[in-house]
Amino acid sequence: MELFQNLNQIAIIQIVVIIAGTWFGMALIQRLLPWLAESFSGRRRLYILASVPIFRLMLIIAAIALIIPKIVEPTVQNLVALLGALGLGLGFAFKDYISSLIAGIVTLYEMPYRVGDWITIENVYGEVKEIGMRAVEIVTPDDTVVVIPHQKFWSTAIHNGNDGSQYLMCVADFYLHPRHAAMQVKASLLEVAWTSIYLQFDKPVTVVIREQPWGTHYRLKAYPVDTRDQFSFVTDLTIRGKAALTELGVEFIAMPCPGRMTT
Amino acid sequence: MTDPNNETQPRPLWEFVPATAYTLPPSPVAYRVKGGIAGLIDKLKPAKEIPESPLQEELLQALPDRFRDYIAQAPDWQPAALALDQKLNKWGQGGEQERMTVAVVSPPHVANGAILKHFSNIRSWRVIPPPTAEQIANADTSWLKAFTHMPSPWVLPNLEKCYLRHYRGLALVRQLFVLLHGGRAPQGIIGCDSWAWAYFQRVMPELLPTPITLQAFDPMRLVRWLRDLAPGFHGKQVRFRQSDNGNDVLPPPSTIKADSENATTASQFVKNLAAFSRGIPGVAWSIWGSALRSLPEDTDSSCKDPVDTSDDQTTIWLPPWEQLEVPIRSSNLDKLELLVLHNILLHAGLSLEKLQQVSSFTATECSLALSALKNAGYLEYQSNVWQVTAAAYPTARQMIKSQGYLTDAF
Repeated sequence: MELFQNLNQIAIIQIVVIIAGTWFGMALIQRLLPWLAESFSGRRRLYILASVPIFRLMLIIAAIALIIPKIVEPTVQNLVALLGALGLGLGFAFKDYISSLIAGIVTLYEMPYRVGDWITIENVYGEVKEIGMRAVEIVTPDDTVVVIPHQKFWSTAIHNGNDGSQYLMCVADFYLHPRHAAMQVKASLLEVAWTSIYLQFDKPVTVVIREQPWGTHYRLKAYPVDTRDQFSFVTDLTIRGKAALTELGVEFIAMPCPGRMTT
Repeated sequence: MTDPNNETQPRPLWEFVPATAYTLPPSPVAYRVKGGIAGLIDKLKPAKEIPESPLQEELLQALPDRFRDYIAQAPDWQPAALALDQKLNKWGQGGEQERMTVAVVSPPHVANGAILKHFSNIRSWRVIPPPTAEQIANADTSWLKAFTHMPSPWVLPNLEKCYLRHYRGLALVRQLFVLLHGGRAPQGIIGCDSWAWAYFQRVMPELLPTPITLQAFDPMRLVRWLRDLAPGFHGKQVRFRQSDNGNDVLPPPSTIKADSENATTASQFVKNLAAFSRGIPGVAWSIWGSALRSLPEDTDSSCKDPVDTSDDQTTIWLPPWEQLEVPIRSSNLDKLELLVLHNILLHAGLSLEKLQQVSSFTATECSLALSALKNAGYLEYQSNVWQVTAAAYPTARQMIKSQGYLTDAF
């Protein structure tokens, strides 16, 4: 039994059309859905963005399913032989590439990050803009695009700030001289958060206080309505928090803290 | 909730109900579904003659202000105050278990403050003015003495003017609610804008009384109300007709039955108007006024009766709803403009100075956003504050809601 079919001109044209159609479909999805998502906020925006790689994967599977029968006789033996040979050959040549491709497929299933998530991988923080077959593309707050291969997924910790939801906790830090009325400061910081124009009311506002050798560290934790507003939100909390604490007569610590609290 | 046994009873035009019983007018989508079924039935019937347009629509022009003000007179909120008086007829007779404070919450452009001031006149209750900006910022409790220094009932018409979304702007209103919640003040009524109330529900939910509200105007209520606003012109009846087919937009006065509860007697224009305005009378009135048209010769200044069309009636034309230039149907705002709009709604109007206080935007950012929103038709400057225009309110609310920000319940 022959493995490959005789490829005539029509079959080749059909394959080219399928590939071109798939490419066009993927390009369309890549542009259309993010454009549509920008019209929404919160959960709906994230759902639309997260559907991009799923649609793309469906297109790829459909294209492969259409192309393979045109190249090989679609029997089990033929498919096993073809995939085995391909796997062996390509596996050696493109070990990391294949690893990233497989990790890319696993990420679609396990979803450690979705489009629209705010993640940290190896100290790079940003919003996931695109999940390709080989790599994830994130945009940092400084508007720098960072492409990270999915291969990192096997061995590196991935920190996901919102994990597919529209809720992303933000923290504003305040470092104060230890001599002050803590209850008054806490009440004032809560009021600062409750009056922020960016605040998401569905989630709680909390203040965490920790006494350190150098002073008192306050962490005002709250959620913005839109994850894209996180930096504006923290800025707003900081500006108004400092104003409120200054009015209370609380003294800020001038020297930066060398350590980092992990509460 | 509607009592099924009373379905045949006429519903009053002005009706105060618990906020949970507030019912929005049916949406145009619901109408389209109903219309689709009705349309199918119509197809089975013999074809009707489609009325021809009785005039050249392009000749129509907006009604001059002075005539429009007469044909669509400014709303009189006195009947609403009477309805509130009736609603609260038995209040205060329920013994010690009864709450001493009632909150009347209404969406923007219902003139809640005016209604409560009329109510205070009816009952001869004292009106407590809102605190000054300094009193709010300093949480000056001397303002609270106005509630307790006399045993007589009181009315606070504009609670939304008693706070600022600022870290020093909530303390006073919180103390007020603690005072009222503790039963330390005599009987009284709080009036509040629905947006400010929604905010209070988030930051101090345990202290708030259950509010009542003016029921939304459904299409039939709107028909009756708009008819009342056009009492006649030089002794003639006013007829409102649609310019493309000549159909009556409002039924002639003689055909309106006070006890009719059948919404299908309202024209499609009024149904759309009720749905778009969310049943808010002030919004509906604003859009209605801007939709009125007349023929140019009818508005000739040399003509004594500017819209005279016959001896016994005056005809005013309205374009079909789809062609109506509602000031804003949809528009994209940037985040800064959206947040400015949101804060103005939460405070039922803000000055530039207060807008800066409630946000961390610079004066330049605020000014640019206000200017852009004014040019887009969202805002107007009235009584020294920036306010959301009545016609733009439904769109503004929809945009804020779609972006996930806090909205009112109405």
